[in-house]
Amino acid sequence: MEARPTPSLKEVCIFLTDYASWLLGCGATCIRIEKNVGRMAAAFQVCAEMTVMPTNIQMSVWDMNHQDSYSLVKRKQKTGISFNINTRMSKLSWDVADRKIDFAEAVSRMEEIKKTPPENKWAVLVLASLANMSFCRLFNGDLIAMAVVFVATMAGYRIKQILLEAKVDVRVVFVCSAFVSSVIGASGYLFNLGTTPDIAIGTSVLYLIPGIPYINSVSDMLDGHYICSFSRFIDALILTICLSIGLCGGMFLMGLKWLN
Amino acid sequence: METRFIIWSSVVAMLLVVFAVKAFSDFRKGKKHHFIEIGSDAEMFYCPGDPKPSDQE
Repeated sequence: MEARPTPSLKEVCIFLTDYASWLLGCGATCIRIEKNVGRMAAAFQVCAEMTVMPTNIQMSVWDMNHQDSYSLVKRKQKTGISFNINTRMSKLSWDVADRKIDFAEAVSRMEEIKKTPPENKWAVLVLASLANMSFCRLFNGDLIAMAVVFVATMAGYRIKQILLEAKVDVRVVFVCSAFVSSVIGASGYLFNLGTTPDIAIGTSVLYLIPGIPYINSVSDMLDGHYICSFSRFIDALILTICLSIGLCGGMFLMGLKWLN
Repeated sequence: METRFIIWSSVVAMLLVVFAVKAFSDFRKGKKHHFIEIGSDAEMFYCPGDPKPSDQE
């Protein structure tokens, strides 16, 4: 059986940098990127030194004797947060570490993973609306409030999808979606529907809360990646501010008081 | 008619117009909408040691 040629330092560095940039782009924490890359580097019998910055990856790959090295800097891949890609990339790293696949196959599989299509947007739309409706119930909303929240979420989320497809700035998208959801969520007050209209309007925008960036920010802080942690926190904070602007705008136009 | 009713109606009307235009635009482009897709849970969740789908066959 013909032995496959061992990959060069350059090839390994390009692969690992590409891998790390995709993982960063799809919403993985810094510790996950470090562990996955480290695992694969050990399998390829190289030493990988990596710096994860908020918008790029800096990678240096050394041979085991520390005689030769190759370095690369690559921007974070522009892709939406995807647990699917995150999971498949992690699985790839374990397969490499367990020696189930060699370098050539790892490259081939990663190219395949990059082509992963996004989740069915209609399924996400319905499920997000149902989830937000459940939040309304958790906060003791009645059935009418739940129905209002379902419709408000569906409308706001659909607007979010349409505007993001049109490449509108995500901050403007959040303002618009929050505004639409809060206006529809105020239907309970407007038409005297149900007994908990306040819960309906409050929960109608919950689907916009950037939970993953906040959680990843805390995770990065706990692992000592303070720059990434702060960057993710500020990103999430800005989106929350945009959400609040939309919500307050909707409540103001509907003649609702912000504070009792 | 109260101002807030007018605003609410305007927002809803605008939404319906946007959705209709988008649906018409997608229809003209021939985009097919798949409402249901079937996949395995392994595509979403993976723990090291999980068997591959091919190993289970």
